[in-house]
Amino acid sequence: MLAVRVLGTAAILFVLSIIVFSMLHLAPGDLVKTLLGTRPASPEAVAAIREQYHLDDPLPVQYLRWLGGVLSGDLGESIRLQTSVSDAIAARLGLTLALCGLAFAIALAVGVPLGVQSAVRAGGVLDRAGTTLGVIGLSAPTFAVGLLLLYVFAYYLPIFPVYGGGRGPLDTLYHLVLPAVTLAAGLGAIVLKLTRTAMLRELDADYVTSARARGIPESRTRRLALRNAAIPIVTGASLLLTFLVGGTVLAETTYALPGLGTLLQDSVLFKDLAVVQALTLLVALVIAMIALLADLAYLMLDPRVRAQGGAA
Amino acid sequence: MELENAGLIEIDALTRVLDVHSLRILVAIDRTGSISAAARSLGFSQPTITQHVQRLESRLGTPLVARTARSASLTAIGQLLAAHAPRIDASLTAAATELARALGHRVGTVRIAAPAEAVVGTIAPALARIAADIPGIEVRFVEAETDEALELVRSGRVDVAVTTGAAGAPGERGQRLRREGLRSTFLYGEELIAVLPFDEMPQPGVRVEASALAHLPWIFGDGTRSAVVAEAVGRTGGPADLAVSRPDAALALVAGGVGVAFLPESAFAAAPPAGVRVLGLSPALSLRTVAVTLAEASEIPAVAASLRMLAARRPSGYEVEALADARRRSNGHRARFARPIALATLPRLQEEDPLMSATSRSRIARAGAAAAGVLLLAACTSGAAESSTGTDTGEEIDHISVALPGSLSNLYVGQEAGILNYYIASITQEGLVSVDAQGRVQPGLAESWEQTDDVTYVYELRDDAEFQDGTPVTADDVVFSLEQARDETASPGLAYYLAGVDTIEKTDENEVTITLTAPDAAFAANMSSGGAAFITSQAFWEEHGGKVGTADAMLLGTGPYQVTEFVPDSHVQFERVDTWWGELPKVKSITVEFIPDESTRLLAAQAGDVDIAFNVPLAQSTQWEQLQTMRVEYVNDLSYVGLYFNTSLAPFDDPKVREAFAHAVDRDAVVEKLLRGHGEAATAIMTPESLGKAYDADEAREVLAGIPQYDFDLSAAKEALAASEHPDGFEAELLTPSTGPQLGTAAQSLAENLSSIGITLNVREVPIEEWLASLDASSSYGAGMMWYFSTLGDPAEVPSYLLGAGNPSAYSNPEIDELLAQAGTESDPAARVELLVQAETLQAEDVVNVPLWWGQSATAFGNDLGFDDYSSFAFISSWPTQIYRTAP
Amino acid sequence: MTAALGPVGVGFRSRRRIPVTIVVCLAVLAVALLAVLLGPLLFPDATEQDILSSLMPAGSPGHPLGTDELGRDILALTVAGAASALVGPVCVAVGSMLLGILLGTLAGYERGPLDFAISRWTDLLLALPVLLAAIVVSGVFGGGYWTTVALLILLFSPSDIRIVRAGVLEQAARPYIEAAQMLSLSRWRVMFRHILPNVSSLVITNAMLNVAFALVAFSSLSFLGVGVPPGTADWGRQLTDNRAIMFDNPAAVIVPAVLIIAVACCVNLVGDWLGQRLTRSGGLA
Repeated sequence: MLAVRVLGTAAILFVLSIIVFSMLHLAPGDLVKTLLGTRPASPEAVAAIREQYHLDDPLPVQYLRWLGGVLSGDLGESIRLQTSVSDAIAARLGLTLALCGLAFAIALAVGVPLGVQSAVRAGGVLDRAGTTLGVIGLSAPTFAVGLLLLYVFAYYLPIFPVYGGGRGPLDTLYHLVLPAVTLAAGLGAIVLKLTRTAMLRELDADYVTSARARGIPESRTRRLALRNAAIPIVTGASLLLTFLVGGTVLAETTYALPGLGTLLQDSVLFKDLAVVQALTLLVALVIAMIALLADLAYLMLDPRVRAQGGAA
Repeated sequence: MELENAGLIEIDALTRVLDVHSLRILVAIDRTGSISAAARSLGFSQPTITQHVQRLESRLGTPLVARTARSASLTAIGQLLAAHAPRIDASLTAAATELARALGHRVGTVRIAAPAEAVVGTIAPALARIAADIPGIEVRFVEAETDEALELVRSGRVDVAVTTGAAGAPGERGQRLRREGLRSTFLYGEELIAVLPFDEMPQPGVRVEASALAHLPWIFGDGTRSAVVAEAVGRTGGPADLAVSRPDAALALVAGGVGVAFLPESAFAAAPPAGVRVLGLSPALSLRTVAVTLAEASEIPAVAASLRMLAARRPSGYEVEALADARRRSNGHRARFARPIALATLPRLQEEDPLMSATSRSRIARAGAAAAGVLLLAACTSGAAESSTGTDTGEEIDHISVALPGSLSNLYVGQEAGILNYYIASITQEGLVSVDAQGRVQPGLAESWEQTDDVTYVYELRDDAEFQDGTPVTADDVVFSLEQARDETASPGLAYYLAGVDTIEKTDENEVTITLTAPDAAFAANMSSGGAAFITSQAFWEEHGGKVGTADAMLLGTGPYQVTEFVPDSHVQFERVDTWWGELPKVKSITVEFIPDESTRLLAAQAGDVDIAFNVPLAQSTQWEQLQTMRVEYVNDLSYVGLYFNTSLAPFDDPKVREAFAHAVDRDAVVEKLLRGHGEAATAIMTPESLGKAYDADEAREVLAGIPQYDFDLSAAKEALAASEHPDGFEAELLTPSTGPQLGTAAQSLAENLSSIGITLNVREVPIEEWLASLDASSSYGAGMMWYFSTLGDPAEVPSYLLGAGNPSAYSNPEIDELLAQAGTESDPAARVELLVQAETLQAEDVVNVPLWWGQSATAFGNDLGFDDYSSFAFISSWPTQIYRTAP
Repeated sequence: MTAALGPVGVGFRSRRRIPVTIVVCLAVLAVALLAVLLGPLLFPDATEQDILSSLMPAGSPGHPLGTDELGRDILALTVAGAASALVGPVCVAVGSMLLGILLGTLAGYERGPLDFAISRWTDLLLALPVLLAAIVVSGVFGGGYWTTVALLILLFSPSDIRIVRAGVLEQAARPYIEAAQMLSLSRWRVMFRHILPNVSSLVITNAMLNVAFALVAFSSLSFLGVGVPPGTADWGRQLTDNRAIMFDNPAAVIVPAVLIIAVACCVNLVGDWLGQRLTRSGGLA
């Protein structure tokens, strides 16, 4: 079963790489023009550059050349940065991972407890306040939240730095607080909402009523309910993580962070094939792994699903 | 083995016996010829000196001084030792001075010898500058002619000799000097001028052959340089020749019709007297003025500083019109430190300053919209150099932080040639020449150059130039760098500039010769870091396999700052080095941060994190101006924005349709409202600043306004459309780049106007890469926005791109091609502009391009920083050297 | 619609009073709906420029909310912009929801290879760089409004599919489904008449979220040449366009931003309330 899963993932990666390759080819923009800028170019110059990057080869050949490189371990070279793709990614991976991790952690740490409490005392003050804040956090465009945070915490109360990734691990963490909070605002709101909804449903269920009737302490009952609510929460949370991976771009732009998000964006616009492929496949791999982990989590959490034959 | 050891031990012992004091004594004896005189000159008593010498003689076991009754002279051994004395003395003095400095004493003495003529123009200003900027240095000056001065340096009696000699075979001269242990620093070069009586007019033109004047009486003497010319043409003395010792005497004689004289340029403190005509020589003869020092003495900080001060002053005076012609020649030195030579017609810069004081400038900036304000702003900021507020405190600045409105992925301009890349690369790299605040070509790594014929350029490199890692710059490095810049696969962004180059060769140890396939009047400026010349070391390039400008390799250049860290899309770090040939800049380290988001950048400035911000978005300018800690300065930035049409696509192949568009553009409203007055409504493709070599600001605008214009007139637009083949209107799409929001709003305004005459223009905003891809004759868009940034301001640059071969409009006009070709080879700036104006007139009649505006850019500076000569050309040369700390 | 099989909720369907907050939200949404319907009629000339009245601040005569750079009245633009701002995102949310329901239910209920294929398809969609998809779509199909809606439906669907699938998975294990299967009810009936209502709360919640996300997505894609061209009356577009003049006429940015947030909030709150009602009355968890 696991083997099937792995094969399936490999198949996706392959299909994805072909799709991305074709899309990059179709996208407007011209690598040669981007390299040359607004200068006229002699036909010889254009020919020389096309030759250098094998742009005149038939498409399948270009694709196979890239594929051959990847299968032998060479992710290729970034035309824009003139370094190897692995170097370019490695240089930024840490920052993006830290940002995502921090944002996710904050979102969970704030959203789940708040969600549970809101559900338990549905309609209470905390519930209403939490929901409202959550809704605002969701609805406000990310850049607006980012700007607001910057104004308050970096300008009026200069606690945090305005931009940049910082140097050194501790300094970097310090620089990432505001961006992580910006991202976590929306995420946390979703987590809160999901948790609350799921908890509400569970708390309404029969087994909770009967547990209470049997005199089982409330906290235990809640824990029970939480375990059952976990499935949709886990689904939602895993989804969040995948959105996070794509959504760091806005945070990185607002806070001038040199992360993977900006790398992907710039590379797509530049039509820097090797980088776009490598990043997309990396993201796909991460998503597939997370999906796998989520499905495994079901198995652990819900015995009924286990009985049914487990995850696909 | 033992013998060798014994030999080594002996030399070792000898070195311990020799000491500087003894050597000084020997030198003094040699010079004065007697022990007592030597003692006096050194400030000791005679018995002390005698004892010292005797002690030395007994230790060495050989006599050093041969004494006679009245005099003393050195023996052969004594001479030998004395010969080494000056250099050892200099080394030790250098060490001692540094030590004294480190210990907190400010001590240094510099002794300078120079001929009398050099005092007014060179020595006196340099001394004044030294006194002002480097207190604690004592300067002593003695007048001496060239040979005498050199001798004084050799014997160690003066530190610096300023000498003048004929130009020619400098490599050889340099070698000779080096063998003697001397080092020369190029100060400036000047041409020799023939001064004739008014009625002696051999032939028309601005130059005359010296041999043609041979039959006339010549005026020789110390006040003239006629001897040099005579030698050069092989004229032996004539019967009526005279000799005077002063230049003004010579001039007076010439005015009286007595004869002709040959003077250096610097002899003219003011316009020559009436009755006299001045002409250049053909072929041109130049003189080089250099400062010569002992190689070791140049290490002495005081001496090194003085050398820089000397090099910085260019004798100013009347500029001879003949020599202001387009023939390329060296102007002397980094003009950023000198006030440019005033042409008789331009006002002197000092007079302009009170006009543009800080308060009036910000008032103008705030008033913004009034048409008068626009014109005033344009006049004040057009190309002319301004000095910034505040006086220079001379303080060192530890660090400045620069905010860049975009991100760099590679530092090498050949790989990524955006305007921001130029700004950053020029901090650390230089070209053969540099560009001054007026856009004129000045020396860079090449201390002089000559255009020997219309396709050949010979560059003479500085012999003291070094890369930031300490290795010397050789002609091979220069040739290599330029060859790489020429290669499209190695440098796609630069290859275009060197497309017309035929050969690049090292022709002498410090000489590089470049030949073109066809004459190109714009070539000289291309050899700067505003064009295609970014000189790096061959060893460095090969070490990194040609992948320079990346995070690992970074850059190696010859400029005053070295790249110490580069994180693509994040920041670049620069540190000051002392290997640069120019004056040490005040800023020690620079961090350039990439902050693409404009709100974040503004916040960073508000938080005080930013010292300089490039390209402040014009729409945010009010906000930046309101910052307490920063000020915003605006300058015409040589950029052009206009409409262009693809004449191969219907309906834009119909000239009446194009005319309709041209009449639908409301330039003044766009400039006033959308650009907030920070721009100028364009009457032509060429910007007024690019005409700077031929016309001043007002004249340039007059010239350009003479090109046919299309006024904003919707009824005329309607008429034109009605007369076209699409009288009922049509629909079209126009792309604008997302990095240029002002182009988008201007396009929307145009679309609105067009909709009232029946044309629907859909404006689509796309990423810059997509927009760039559409700038091609093969694109499917019939109308487009053109946005061109010129770094060097050559007048032919943009018209050639827009109207010449391969232009994005698919426009082919043989007359224009002919005019452009002629302009390419024409060396006289005014004639060149005339040709280009004709080309523009033709295209205006065909309405292929509709000029919209000439752009301005805004730079924000911290209020505690001053910037010398902020102009349109400020940032394409080593601009951090122009920063200073102002008094609060 | 009959209630689902299984234990019926205890007690009667209590008709609770609608809380005040929800009333307010519903009122806001009603106004928005009015603006959507009537806006183009009330302000047909909203996008007309008047460059001479550029950048007038709020409160100027004739322009209560001021004008933008090209002299367009902010109030007019805002009212006229409701349609463009809201219709697209709602369509995206609805479309994504429908796709999610269809594919998610199939995947969660049928399992096996169908589930495998659908799940891998969502993985693929999630991994695809949004930027790349956007510029290719704009390049190949032109950057129209409805093309963007279609693109966003495609890009938003994975989240709905996943959520529905998870909900269905969880429901499918329950006894009442077993019972239904034993009754040999056709699987379509089981899926859509029995499971679906019980998953509806999750789905509706997510759909409401998607409206808000889609609102923002529209305007962030605008700089790529997709979605809404510059100068259109559209809240998201105004937000992007007028950032530059934020300090000259703050109303130009604040008004659309507040409206986006307000509508999104209201939609979410109403959605929550609806979800609660669906959960408590009738269908059972």
